[in-house]
Amino acid sequence: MKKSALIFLLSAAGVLRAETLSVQITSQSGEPTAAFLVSADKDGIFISTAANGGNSYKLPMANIREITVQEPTGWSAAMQAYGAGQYDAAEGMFARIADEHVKIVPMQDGYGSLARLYQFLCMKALGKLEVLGAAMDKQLANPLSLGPLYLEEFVDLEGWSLLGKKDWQSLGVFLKKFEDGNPLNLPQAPFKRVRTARLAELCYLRANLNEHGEKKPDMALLDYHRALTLDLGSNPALLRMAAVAALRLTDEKVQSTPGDEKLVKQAKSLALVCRDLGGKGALPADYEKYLK
Amino acid sequence: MLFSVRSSLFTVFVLAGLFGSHAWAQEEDLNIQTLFEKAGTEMEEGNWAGALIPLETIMKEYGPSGYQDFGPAFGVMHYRYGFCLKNLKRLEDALKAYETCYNEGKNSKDTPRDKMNPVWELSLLEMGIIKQALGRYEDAIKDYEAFARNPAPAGNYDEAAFRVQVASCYSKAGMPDKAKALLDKLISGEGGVAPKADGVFRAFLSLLDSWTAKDADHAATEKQAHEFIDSNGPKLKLAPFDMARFDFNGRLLGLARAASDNNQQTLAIRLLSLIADSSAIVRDLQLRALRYNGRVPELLQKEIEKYTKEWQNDDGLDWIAMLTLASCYERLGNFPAGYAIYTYCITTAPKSSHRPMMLFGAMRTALATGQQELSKTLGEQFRKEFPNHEFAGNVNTLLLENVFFSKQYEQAVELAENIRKSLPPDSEDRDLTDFVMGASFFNLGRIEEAQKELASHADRFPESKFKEASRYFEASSLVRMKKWQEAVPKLEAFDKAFPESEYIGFALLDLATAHFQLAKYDKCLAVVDSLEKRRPNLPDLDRALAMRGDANLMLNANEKAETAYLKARELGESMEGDGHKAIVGRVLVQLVRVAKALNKPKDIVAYYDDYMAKYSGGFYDAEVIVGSLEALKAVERGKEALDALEKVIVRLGSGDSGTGIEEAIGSYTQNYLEIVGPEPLLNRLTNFVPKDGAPINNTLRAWLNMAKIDLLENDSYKDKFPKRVAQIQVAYEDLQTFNKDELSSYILVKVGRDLVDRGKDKEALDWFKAVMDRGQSEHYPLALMGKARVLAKTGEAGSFQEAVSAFNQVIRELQDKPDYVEEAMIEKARIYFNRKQWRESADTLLKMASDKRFTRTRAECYYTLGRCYENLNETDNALEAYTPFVGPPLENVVQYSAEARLRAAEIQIKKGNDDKAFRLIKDTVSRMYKLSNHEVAGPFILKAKEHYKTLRKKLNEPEHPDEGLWGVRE
Repeated sequence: MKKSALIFLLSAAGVLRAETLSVQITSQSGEPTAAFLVSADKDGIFISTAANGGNSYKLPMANIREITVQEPTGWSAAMQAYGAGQYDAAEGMFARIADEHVKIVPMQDGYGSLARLYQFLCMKALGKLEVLGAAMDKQLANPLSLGPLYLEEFVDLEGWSLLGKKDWQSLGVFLKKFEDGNPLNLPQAPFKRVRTARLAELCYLRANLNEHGEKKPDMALLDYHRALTLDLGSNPALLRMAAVAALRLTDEKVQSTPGDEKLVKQAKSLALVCRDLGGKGALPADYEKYLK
Repeated sequence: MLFSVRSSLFTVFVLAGLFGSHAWAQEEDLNIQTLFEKAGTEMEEGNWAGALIPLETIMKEYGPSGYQDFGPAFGVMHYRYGFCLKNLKRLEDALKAYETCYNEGKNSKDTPRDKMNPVWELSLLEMGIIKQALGRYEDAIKDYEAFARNPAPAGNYDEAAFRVQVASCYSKAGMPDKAKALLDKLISGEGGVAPKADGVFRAFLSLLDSWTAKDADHAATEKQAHEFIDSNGPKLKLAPFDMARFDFNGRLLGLARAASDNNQQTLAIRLLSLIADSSAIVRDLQLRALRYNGRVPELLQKEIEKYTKEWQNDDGLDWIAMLTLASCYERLGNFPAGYAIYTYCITTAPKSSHRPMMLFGAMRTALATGQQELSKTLGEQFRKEFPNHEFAGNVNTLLLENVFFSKQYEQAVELAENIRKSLPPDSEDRDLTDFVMGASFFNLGRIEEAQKELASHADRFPESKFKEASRYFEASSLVRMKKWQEAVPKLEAFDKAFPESEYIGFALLDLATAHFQLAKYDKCLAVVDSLEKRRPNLPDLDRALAMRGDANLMLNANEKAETAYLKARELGESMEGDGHKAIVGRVLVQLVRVAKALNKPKDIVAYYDDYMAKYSGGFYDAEVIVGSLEALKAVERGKEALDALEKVIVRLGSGDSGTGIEEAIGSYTQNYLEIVGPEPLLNRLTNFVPKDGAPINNTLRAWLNMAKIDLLENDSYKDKFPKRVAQIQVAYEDLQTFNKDELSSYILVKVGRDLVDRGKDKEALDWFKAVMDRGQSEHYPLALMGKARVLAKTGEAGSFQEAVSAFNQVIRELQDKPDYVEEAMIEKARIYFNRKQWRESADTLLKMASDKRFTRTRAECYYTLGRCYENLNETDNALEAYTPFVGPPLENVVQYSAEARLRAAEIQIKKGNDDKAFRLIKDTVSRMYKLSNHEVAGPFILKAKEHYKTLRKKLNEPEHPDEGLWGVRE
């Protein structure tokens, strides 16, 4: 039941072919409307009865009881790629969708904002953190409009962006917000009870802060292990990054304390995790020695 | 496979009207169509038991001739009957029903269309499913394969689900390769069959069942499993909520545990990573809810609430999965991962019923990651929260080992004491606590307590895992307690039992020390030789080599001693640490001594210079200087040496403790006396003020006073000091003004004795008491003796008893110091004698007489013994006691022998033995006639002379030519 129309927009980058999304709207009074979504602002959407968007008018969100927006072309494929961990491909698809629907970014949890969010998430998963930082800064000019669920993801991206910029002080402040009380006086404060997927990422960010910002490799090592485990290892990209980093730090300890069998065994365990769970090429050649 | 039983993949219910034309209308209840429809209604509602009632009626009423009457179509009845039984888990009965349907309800070419059995093929499939559920996998496979060759018409069953089912069965039947091949085809979409994701996952789980089976080749199947997941990862990815609602999370957890038990740890970790935890499920559901633009369906909302509650639950599956993951990493040797998980658990799920496991795990992994203090804190938290938990013993053990092995011995003692309070002495858990107690005491230097604990531990736990350390510490404790005799056999036994022990070097060193102290120098040397061969890298080898030098020195093998000391010096100098420095310092002292014996003055000077350059400021300064003085004087460096010695004394006198002053002053005075003479020494001691004006402590002042007294009391120099009595008194009086705590035991005893000499007995007691209050020391016996003498002198009954007790204490406790024992015994005999307690005195003296060690008071002993017997009218015993005085050596002790001889002669006279008496008197007079004027012996000699004259006349003996000389001629 997809209604799609092609419109041509001129953009600064060149000619971009964009689709206009059809919408099914039910007003507060129960009146159904079929239209095309042209753009949005902070409190309403602009719709048109014409596929090319001509004669559009604003419909305040307050007047809408229910709205169903047509899924952009390529959205399912992009989501499928993302779900399969094919972040490179997914990033390109989401970027295209986000660029096409830049005008509806102000619509909360709309495809415009979501495509951009997923594009950022792909960058994160690919470790393109410097690019992510720059892209997020750029996005400030046209802030994404996200409901609480997606906003959580976006907030976390801030941390990754700070990591990309190596802004350790800001990253420290960012992480502090998530830390909980520490009645047992553990060397590192525990994080609050958040989703484990989120928790593991916070641990990874703190590990980097500890290792590179505060030069505390022992604390970093423990945090990398938290990132590796606290979500049960359900995020393969994170698992891979955390395992490799933990292995690197463990290897440094092995080199500085030769003959420590316990450390060698620990390194071997991480090498096995990299090999068996990290995906192709996850285990750096330098550490293959631990498997022998 | 329960899943297959509960729900059918191939349900066919629409058979209404099939039997309408053949309805027998005997009774309404028994109408087959009515019964059939009724059963159908119950089945649609899932009321399997209810459906059985009409079906059983059909079986009873129509069954016997059903297939004849209705043709193969009657198979539907058995099919339905089997279906209900299957859902009621009456699998064998269900199988029979399906078999009846399949065997008796077979369609043929001739079967009319209206009598066709529509579920004939499906009944075969159901038979396979039930056989699979009953574990008869091979039979099930036969049915499946037969069904595959002749399947039911398309649309009557789910072909993808069928393949998944077969794959599962292959897997269960031990044919995972066939299963995998089938599943690979299915996942790749080969044959145009697209299975549902949950179906694929089920088959995957079945494959995992076989890959993690107990009898599988675990290394190979772990690899296969990883490869399968690598290849099919995206197809195995289900939405978190689906993972939960199909109970895949629970299955994965069970499989992960099985994999971990098979040591397929990375597979276990990977399976756990596929689990969707509650927070992921909630998010999945919330995202689903977003699609409804705020009008979330009630069912979805309920699921969100259910899993949100589960997320906040400290006891849910999430935490079991977490703990399983921690266990996998621990088994893999990765303790930081375990630590990460356990600490997360204890902080995030504080109310979990698994908290003991979480806390224990956190404690254990904190320790394994080098966080001893934290581990201790966590262990104490466990003890606080779960003092009686089944893990408490393990926690205590770990905690105690942690504290002990991190050398926190005070805490270890406290903790071990606390833990063992509730344990009976023979409890196995006492092995650790008692060992830790003993070993901690040992390391804290509380040696007597250590020895007691360790000896008890060794007795009760001979097979303890700590037996090696326990036995060594106990033996070494004995060495430190100077119980050399007891230590030797224990150390030798330790060497025999644990020749390769990590403690063997120290044990051999202890053994060598014990032999040395027991003057078994050859044995000492043998042990040192063995030690050098077996532990050439022992850090304390320099000490052992120095002991080799000492032993050779004691054997007068000076060259060997020199060689050993030089080697010890070389080794000690090559090592770092104050301990080694002290050893080299002492070795140089010994080298000076050996060089002296070997007459190598140049070497002495060289050792002196080396010592003063590198090791001065230590305990041996004075000894080195004094030992080197002669050699230094020979090279005109005598003054330098004395100046150095003075500095040593001042340094020691400026310190807080005054340790070493006694030895230094002793050396200084002795040397000064030899080099300079007694008068300048007295002058020096009187005016011993440091040139730089450094204040000197009271210890030094006291010792200077004492050195003066020792000098003045030395009879060799009495002519040099005409006013010495007064000078001595002044010096003693000066010492009495000191605080007793500042004075050495030697000085205290000396002052006490001086007070006794001056008749100040009561005051003297305080000084003796001060020494005795300090416990055993070389001066203790002197103080005790002094006290006893004072008490003996008082003559009061109470004091008399106290004095006897004091003497008995000396006799009992100081058996290794015969001089003191002899003195105590004679004093004791004296006070009995003075109180006319002849028997008690005689008994004491008789014991003395039988002990050959006592030579100083032998004459007094026999004399007094004779006197006691005389008073007891035991004249024969008295004569026996006096007998030793008729020959050497006692006859020469004239203050006793003259009287003893006279008394013996008088006893013989009384007995009428004039001949014997005369011979004794004559012998006495002839030997002692010159002693008539002797202060003590004189009166007895004069009396003997009178007896001589009387008896000679009486016995009419001829005159002796020397009588004139003897002074007895009339």
